[in-house]
Amino acid sequence: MSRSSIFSFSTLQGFPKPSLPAVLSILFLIIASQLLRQQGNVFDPVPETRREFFNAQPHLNYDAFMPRPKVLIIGSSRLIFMKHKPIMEATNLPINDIQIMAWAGSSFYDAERYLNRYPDLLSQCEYIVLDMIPMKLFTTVAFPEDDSGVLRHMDWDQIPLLSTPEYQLKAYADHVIPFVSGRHRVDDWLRLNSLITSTPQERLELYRTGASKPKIPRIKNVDPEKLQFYIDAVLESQFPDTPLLSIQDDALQRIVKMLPVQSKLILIQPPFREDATKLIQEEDSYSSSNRRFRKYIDQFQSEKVQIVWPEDFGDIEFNEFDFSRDGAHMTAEGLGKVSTFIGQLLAEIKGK
Amino acid sequence: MLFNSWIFIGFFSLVLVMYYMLDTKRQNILLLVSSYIFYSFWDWRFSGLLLLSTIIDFVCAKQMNSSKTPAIRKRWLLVSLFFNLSVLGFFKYANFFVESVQSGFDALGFALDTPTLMIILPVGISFYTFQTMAYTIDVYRGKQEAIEDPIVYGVYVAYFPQLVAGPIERAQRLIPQISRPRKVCQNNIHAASQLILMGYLKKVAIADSIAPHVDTIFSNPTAHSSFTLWLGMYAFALQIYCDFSGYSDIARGISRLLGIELMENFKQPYLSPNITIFWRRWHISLSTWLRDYLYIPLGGNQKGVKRLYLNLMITMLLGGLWHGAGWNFIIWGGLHGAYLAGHRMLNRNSRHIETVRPHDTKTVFGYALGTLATFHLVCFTWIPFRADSFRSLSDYVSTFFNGITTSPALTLTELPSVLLFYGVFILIIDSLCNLKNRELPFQKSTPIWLRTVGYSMALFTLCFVREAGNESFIYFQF
Repeated sequence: MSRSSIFSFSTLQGFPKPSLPAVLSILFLIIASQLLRQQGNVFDPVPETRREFFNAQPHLNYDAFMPRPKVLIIGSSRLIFMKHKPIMEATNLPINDIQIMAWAGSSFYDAERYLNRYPDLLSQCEYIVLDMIPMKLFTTVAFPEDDSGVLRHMDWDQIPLLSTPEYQLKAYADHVIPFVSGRHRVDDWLRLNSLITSTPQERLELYRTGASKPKIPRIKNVDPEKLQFYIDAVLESQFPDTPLLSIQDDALQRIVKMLPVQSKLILIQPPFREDATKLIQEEDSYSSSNRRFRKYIDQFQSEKVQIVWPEDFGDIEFNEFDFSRDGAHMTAEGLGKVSTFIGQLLAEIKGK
Repeated sequence: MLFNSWIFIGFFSLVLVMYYMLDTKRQNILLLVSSYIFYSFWDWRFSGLLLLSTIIDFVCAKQMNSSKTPAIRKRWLLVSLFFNLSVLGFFKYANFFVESVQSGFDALGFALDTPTLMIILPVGISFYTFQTMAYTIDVYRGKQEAIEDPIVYGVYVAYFPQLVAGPIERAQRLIPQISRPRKVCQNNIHAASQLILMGYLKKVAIADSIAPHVDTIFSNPTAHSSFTLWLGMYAFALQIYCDFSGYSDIARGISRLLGIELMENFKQPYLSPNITIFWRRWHISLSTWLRDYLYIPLGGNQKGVKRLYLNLMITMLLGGLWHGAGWNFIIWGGLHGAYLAGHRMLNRNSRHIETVRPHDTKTVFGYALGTLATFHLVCFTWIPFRADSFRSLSDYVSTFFNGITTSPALTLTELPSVLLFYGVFILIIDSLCNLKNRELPFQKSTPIWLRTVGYSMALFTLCFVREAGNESFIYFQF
């Protein structure tokens, strides 16, 4: 069939032309989305999780509620019960000089974004302690790349690091018209109660007053079969057999690059319970994940970066009450010991 | 592959571009192949069932056409009906039948250990089975010539825009459109785009935003105040309307882009002044199917008043059962049957029960009152329709009629504002269409500024006022 142009189809009678109202309404949509983007805080929901809390923070004035620490500890749920006191005692630093931040599922990317957003946070910082586990480096349930929290905070130049074109497209689209991540949902606006009390500070206060630290379920009274289930569940997520994520690699490299002259980065992997440690060493998928992870991390070892693996905790004796039932998360007692260790380590480094 | 998924948008864009580049015959092959790909996304194994159903009805119709004696024609019709009803009966009603027998025996004190089959319901089975049955019945009645081209018939059965949730098209309407060359002009594209936009707006922005609230309320009715249960009833009424009519709008819009006109399935049903009109505006393709192939063959209104009431009741009970194998659907159908019979009884001597819309200010008040009453009667029937079990239904109804009071227990604070916002939104759109008696709120003659405001509001709502989830369509389960 010969055609003079690709548009001379027998079914389609002419190339489709959008009507003026259609063009105007799309233009309106683009303008509205950009305006909403400027006023994004109005539409943010009340933070309910630590990640949402993190997302809510860009609207707050950092100076208003946080000092500039000398010791900054950034961790995942594994460091959620870290204590100030042992570190203060070992280093002779006042409490305001020690900042402990931890939120569930936090990755290198989250930490880098946070530091990137508040460069002043590092202005007086001497030690940055960063918790590490393989899940921080690989694709995991805790770190899905298309998570709104990820897309939202991504720089333009980080987008190509996303692993699939679909995620990249989403991230680019989110930069142009920020509705893909669902960050500006007007249905939150419709929730009249939240509209009235919807300043960022008030929302943060709601989070703070409404959130108590989670109770870590302990090992006692747990059926041995269930115990195995808990251990497997957490180790599967923390030692995944998935590819390394460029975005995480890039984030850790950026953290190292942004270290001020006086600062030192300490990458730390707190210990696991004995049975979980055994599994990590003997179970093929966990051990291979751990090996890949260690190999990757070891390349960062330098004068500015110190690495602490579980075996480096040396003389400190951990018992079953120091761990939650999953064998990977620690109780307040266990993290008290880790805090003491970190305090002594920092004092030792300072003494050198 | 849901209409409200990116994969469908990609799939349809590809099909559309290829479609415009082909001649009619190849377009039909493309439609057939793409329809089977579309259907296989749910479960490829059931494509075989769809194919088998297509072949059997195609052969039966051809045999009826070539048969000279009525007896042989009837035999082929029975083959077709037997096959279709058996397939429907097996996949949709076998477990319901077994479980009901078991419950009956249990109630009588006999323990009966009957097997329950693990049967997966093929998506859209009720829709395409009714469509193929309508075809063979029409061929038998001599209203429709048997189709010679298997590709054309294959497209008629499997045409993807309406395959899984209708409209249930008739051969007389669809076959000529599939057989002849199609033309798509600028006006078609504009109207189709508006239909698609309206459909997505109803489904993605409204139905999916309301769904979580409805789920919360219906999952545990006793945890809520009767006020919340009333809101839950209204919310589900809005959800199911936006979900199903949204699907129909998208189906009609994408089909129109392909140059094929599908029938209008909803005509602002909640603005109906009485229940008879409601059933001429709600799920029109099913109600007309039931009328033509069940109600009229039963005798319709030609065999006396008592028989009329009985016929209405039988038709609506079976209409309820069409939705699914469950007593809740039978109750729903029974209520509608009773409403229709009651409406006929009250208006035995009136010739004006079919007033569609008010024509002057004198009739407005009566129309509004009738609409309000009809809306509430319909809303009450949604409670059994949505209830998960008998227990849940009785809990809902007992708490529901416990007096309209607010209670601090589990109050869904955002539901009233969400419901008000979306309810008013739909009311405005439907009122515009209803008053002007047209399918779309905006037409070419509508002032540009008004169209711009309307489209902008629709796009804005679609992009920003919605839940992030991707809910399936309610009617896919039927």
